[in-house]
Amino acid sequence: MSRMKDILSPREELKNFSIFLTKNQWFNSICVPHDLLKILNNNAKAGDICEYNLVKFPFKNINLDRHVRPDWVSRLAREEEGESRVLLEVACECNCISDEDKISDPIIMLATKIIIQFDYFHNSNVEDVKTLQCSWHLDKHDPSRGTSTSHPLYHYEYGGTEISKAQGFNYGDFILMDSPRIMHPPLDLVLAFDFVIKNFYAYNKHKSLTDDPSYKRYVKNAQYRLWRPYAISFASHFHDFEQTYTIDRAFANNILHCSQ
Amino acid sequence: MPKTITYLFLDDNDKATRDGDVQLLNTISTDVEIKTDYPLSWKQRSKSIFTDLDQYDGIILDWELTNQSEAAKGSDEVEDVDFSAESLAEHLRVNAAKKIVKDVPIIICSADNNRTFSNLKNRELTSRDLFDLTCIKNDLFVKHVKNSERQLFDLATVYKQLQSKTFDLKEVLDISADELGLLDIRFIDTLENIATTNTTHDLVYFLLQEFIQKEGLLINEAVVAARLGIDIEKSGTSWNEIKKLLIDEKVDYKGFLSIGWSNYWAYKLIDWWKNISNQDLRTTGASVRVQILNDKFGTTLVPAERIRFCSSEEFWTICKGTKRPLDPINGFMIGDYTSNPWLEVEYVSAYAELEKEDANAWRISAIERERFDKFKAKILKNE
Amino acid sequence: MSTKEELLKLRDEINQQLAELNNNSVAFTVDANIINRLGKELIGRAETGVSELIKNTYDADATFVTVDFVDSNLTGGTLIIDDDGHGMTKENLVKGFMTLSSTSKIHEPISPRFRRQRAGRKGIGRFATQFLGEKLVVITQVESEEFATKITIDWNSYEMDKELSSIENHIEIVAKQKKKGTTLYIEQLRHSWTDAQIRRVFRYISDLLQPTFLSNRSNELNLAKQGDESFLVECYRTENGLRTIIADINKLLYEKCLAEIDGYVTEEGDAYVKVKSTSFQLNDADLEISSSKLNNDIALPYPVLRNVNFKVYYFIYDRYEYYQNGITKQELGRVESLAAEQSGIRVYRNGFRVLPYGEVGDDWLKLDRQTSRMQFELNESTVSFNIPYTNKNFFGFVELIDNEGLLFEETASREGLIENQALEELRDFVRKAVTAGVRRIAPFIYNEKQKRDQKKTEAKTLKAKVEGLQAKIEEFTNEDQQEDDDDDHDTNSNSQQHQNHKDKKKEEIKGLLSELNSDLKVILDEIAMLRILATLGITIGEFTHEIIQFPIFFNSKLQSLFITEADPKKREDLEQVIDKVNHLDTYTSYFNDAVSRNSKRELEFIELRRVIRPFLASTKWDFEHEGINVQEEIRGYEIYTIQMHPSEWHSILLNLYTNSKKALRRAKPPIKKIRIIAGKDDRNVYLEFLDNGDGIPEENKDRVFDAFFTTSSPAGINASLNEQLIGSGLGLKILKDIIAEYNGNIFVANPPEGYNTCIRIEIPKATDEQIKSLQN
Repeated sequence: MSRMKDILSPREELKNFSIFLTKNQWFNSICVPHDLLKILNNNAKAGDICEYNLVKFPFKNINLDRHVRPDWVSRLAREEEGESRVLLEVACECNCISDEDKISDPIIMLATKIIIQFDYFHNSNVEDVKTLQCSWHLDKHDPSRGTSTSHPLYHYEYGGTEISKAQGFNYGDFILMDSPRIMHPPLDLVLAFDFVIKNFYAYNKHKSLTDDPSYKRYVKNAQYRLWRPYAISFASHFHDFEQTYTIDRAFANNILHCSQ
Repeated sequence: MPKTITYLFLDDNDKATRDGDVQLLNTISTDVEIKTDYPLSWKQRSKSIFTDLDQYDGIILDWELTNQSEAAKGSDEVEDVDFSAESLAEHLRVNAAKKIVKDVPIIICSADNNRTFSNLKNRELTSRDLFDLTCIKNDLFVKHVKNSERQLFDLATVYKQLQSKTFDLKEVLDISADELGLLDIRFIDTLENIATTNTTHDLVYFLLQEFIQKEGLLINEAVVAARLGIDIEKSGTSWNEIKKLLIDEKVDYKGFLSIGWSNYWAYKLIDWWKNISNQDLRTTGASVRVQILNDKFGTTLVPAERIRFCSSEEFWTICKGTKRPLDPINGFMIGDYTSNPWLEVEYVSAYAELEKEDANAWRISAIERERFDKFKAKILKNE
Repeated sequence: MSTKEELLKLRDEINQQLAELNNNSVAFTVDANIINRLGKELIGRAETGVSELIKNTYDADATFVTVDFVDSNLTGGTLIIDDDGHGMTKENLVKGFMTLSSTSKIHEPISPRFRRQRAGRKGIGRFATQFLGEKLVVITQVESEEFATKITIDWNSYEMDKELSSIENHIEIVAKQKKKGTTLYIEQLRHSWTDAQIRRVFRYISDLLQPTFLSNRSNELNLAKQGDESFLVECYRTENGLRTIIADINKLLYEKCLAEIDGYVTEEGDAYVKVKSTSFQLNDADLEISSSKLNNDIALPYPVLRNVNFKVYYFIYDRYEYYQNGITKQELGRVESLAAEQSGIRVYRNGFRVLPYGEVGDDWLKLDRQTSRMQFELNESTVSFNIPYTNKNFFGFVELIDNEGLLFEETASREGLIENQALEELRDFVRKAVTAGVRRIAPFIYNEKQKRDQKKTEAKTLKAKVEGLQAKIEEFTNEDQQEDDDDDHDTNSNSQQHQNHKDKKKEEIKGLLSELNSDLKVILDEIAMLRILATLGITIGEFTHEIIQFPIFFNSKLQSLFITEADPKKREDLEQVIDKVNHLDTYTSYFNDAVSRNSKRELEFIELRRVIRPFLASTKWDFEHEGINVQEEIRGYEIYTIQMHPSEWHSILLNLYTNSKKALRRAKPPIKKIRIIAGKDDRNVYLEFLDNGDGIPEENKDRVFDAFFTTSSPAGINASLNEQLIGSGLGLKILKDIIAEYNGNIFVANPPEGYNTCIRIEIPKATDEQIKSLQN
């Protein structure tokens, strides 16, 4: 089952993935892959650490139909009424795994942000362009910052920002609440892209990309690098892996919740 | 004091006209002197050009070399012009590559802004690589004479410097070894490669086309203002104050070809901003950016306004059509997308595309057409 | 007497004991916050809320309801809904209003007095008040009692963690305010209400209710007594004590229609229709409509159909010139965009709208399917031509008065009426009546169309004349042929007739020939002049190409001199010369562009802003020098003509500009204005050139396009060729010819307010497919 030798370093994988994406026609219609290539500029000075920061990367022409949203917004979210997009931000610093039997957290820092934006003409007036927005973060908890409530190391939270304060906004159909943090396996750039594509585009649109064996391999590799340590550490609470792996206990404990 | 740089201008008009055309530039410039001459026949000029270049640092050619008037020729020994500007330029470049003659800037200009010339200008013909600059005569000698004078000076100087010493990347870009590490390695690599294997002209051409005149590692004043969220016109003297601050902090580019073209380092601008505020510049709106700057420096900057139909004021680039600040998420990609990875994609706003007067000024890329048509339909529906 | 607190405590204790007694059962208690939740869930929008409250007044047999927004520009205002329905007794209030999900409406599905079908939805009303405002005061009284009941509810007190039934609301007896009815005061409004929002609410409600202007006829014929069946809603805004009514703007627009068609069916089943049109000065007597399918003269009454009224407003959209009733073009445009959502012929039964008849997309009268071709008699001949009359052209309202519900029945889902004979006859009647109405005005429209076409045919007059002549000659020779065949069978008396006939024909032909002769002379003169102008044009082209370089030379030399010159007076001189050189430069580059485009033979789709703007840029110096304020108004995007020669637009614009310039010089208004408007409609793109010069007199409006028509004073004997040409009078004729080539139209139109001349050019527009292919 050992697969480490098939997987390149995170930086290599990322580079190949980006180049692969630039060649896919459907992907070019929803994103500007050129901007992906820019973040790869990495002068390889920091050894094995792969570090990148993708800022405000847009996914265009998203399909909002599947999603639940306030009744009056549904009128807007129809294609004819406005333009919608997803903005993705991924800031990541991660290590290269050398020994796959030593299970530890390959990620040093991770902050993934998914923002959904919807532009529309308020009151059908072309001079009055407004944007509705909401966002989700998937972060790795930063221990140096401490915590008020205990939460998992990798967590997912919802932030509703900048809801349009349009007149007559109906709060009645929309629940804004103080967000809890939900456990979720980490998403780096590859996995975040996969997440966005699969959640915001219809299958028959994205299958030309996602059914491609190369694409599937990149995703699988990313999952192997990031989710395997996560899964094994998590499972170690319920199963004894002493014989097979050396597990970083701090990591395993923090997955459930960080106490500090 | 004699001027340091001399250009030869070949034009098929009579002497009085030729000299008159360049008189303004010669008057205002302290560094550049343009001398004019009749092109002659191919037989005559192709030979004499080698000795010409002993005294000249650059050549300017008129694109239409077809005048047969007697007055222009002046004397009987002078033969009719029978060659094109492209062929002379080609001749020079080939010989420069062979090191028979030195490489110099070659500028081509035309009085007429008709279609074929603007195609040349827009690099759609194969002779594009031969020339360093392609200009409208009126712009070159009259309308933008101050700019063109600086550019002529800069080009000639740079050609000279590149041919007189070995190529030193740090000197050319005016950066330290540490800073070099922050630039895109592909750019550095390509640059060094061209510097070692290709001609001076290829190198200057590369610098102009892939570095100086495009948004990427370097950005011009308009883009700097857009990224800081500033409306240049309305901010008046406050904008000058900001520019001065940027220059003081060495955000501006001072390497080769910075005299003719004014640019700033894109990454240094971001670093400069980080020292002022910990808000991420890219995801902060123009009004907030300007507020922070005004609070910090006591200026009275005015934030830039969104182009019509645009939703975001997180400006990062400028609209190719209106030249006003634009957030790429509101823009539509133009041109092809096989440009070099360290360059930015160019965008145009929906408003500019709809109001477009010159159908050939730019083209929205095919892959964005559908998105634009949908957006256009929404606008037309609600108008 | 125990205090309230003691009683409540006692109740809680009893409940507890009961619960303990019966460990196996537990009852639901309700948290008071349910009020808020239900409010938010059930009411989506403010319009829905207000309309539910009004439906409740309808259910209460009200005939007149006022809706008043008081100081509601910001949040915190008050909404007062006042009706004259039957009101509520204290018991009604408690059992009905204060009982959530009460059963009263289930028990009484029809209103007691007017037997109206319940319009309001079960129990939504009170939540609407909660949704709209934080506080509610209800004052209600019934006829039979001497006092009114007032209840005050503070929705904020309905917070979480309190049991619903423990929250108290103040109820008291007060003096009566009127005979009967209810007034709701919804205070501390949660939203602010702009005029547009109030109008939207009103429109939403008006959509449900039959328009008030419909019932005139029903009054005249005593089909319904005013005040009985009517249900009138008026909407006001009160700000700082000043009350203004929010009018329904649609009604005002409707009245500016091209024609108004009124139809009705009497108590006896006789059907009539009548047409009124200000534009065509028509105010007819009633026409009979027969129910029978036979096309004979006897009008049969309808067997079952009774007491129907309708009013239909008819509009034709892209023929603004048909209208003589003061409607502006913007208003017509607004009606057209209204038509996208509100056109169609709607049905109202007993005052309330019956859906889906008349919704956009519904074609219950099968108007959209028919051909638009109509035949009618005009001047003793039958004319047949196209006239639009689909649902989009009508804003119609059909009123059915059917108290007992005998004729019509609504389906259970409230979507439509049950198909019965009455409905079938209704369809038949409305359709026939509307068609008859349109047919009645068709001849007028035809005449208008003829007038327009005549303008087009003038360019072809010559051609038509030649063809006419040919036709006549053919006729003549054929008849001659016929005669020779018939001669053998003829008697003498007929031959004289034939001879006269022949002579007549000969005269006709001679006449036509001599007409053509004089036309020919005019044409030859025109060609001679055109030849001169053409050579001039060629010369200009070559000339421009030569001088295009000169401004560079001038500028370079002059600016150098300027820089090195110290003497201020000489500097000033130089500056002026430089200025003039730049002026020259704009002209030369404009013409250079025009000439180079001329040399291309290809036709292009022209987007008007791309010819107008460069034109304005190049003539800027000129009109600034003349002191003319020039403005452009380009309406919308993608204003593409069919394929044309681009340089022809240079001619068109320059020509029109020159004429306007002259007109302004003659008139010398205090502010000289020129306005260029460009846009498109269904078929054409149009350009309008307006100025406030001396105008074109009525009698000249068509003649200005004739060859050699000019009002410029003739050039003197010694005048140069140039001066002779400028006033040559060929300018507009040339334009007309150019435009006719493209099947377009140019004519003098009615100028809008502030301008005296309007020349309008219409050119067929490019199709959407053609425009699309341009992008690629």
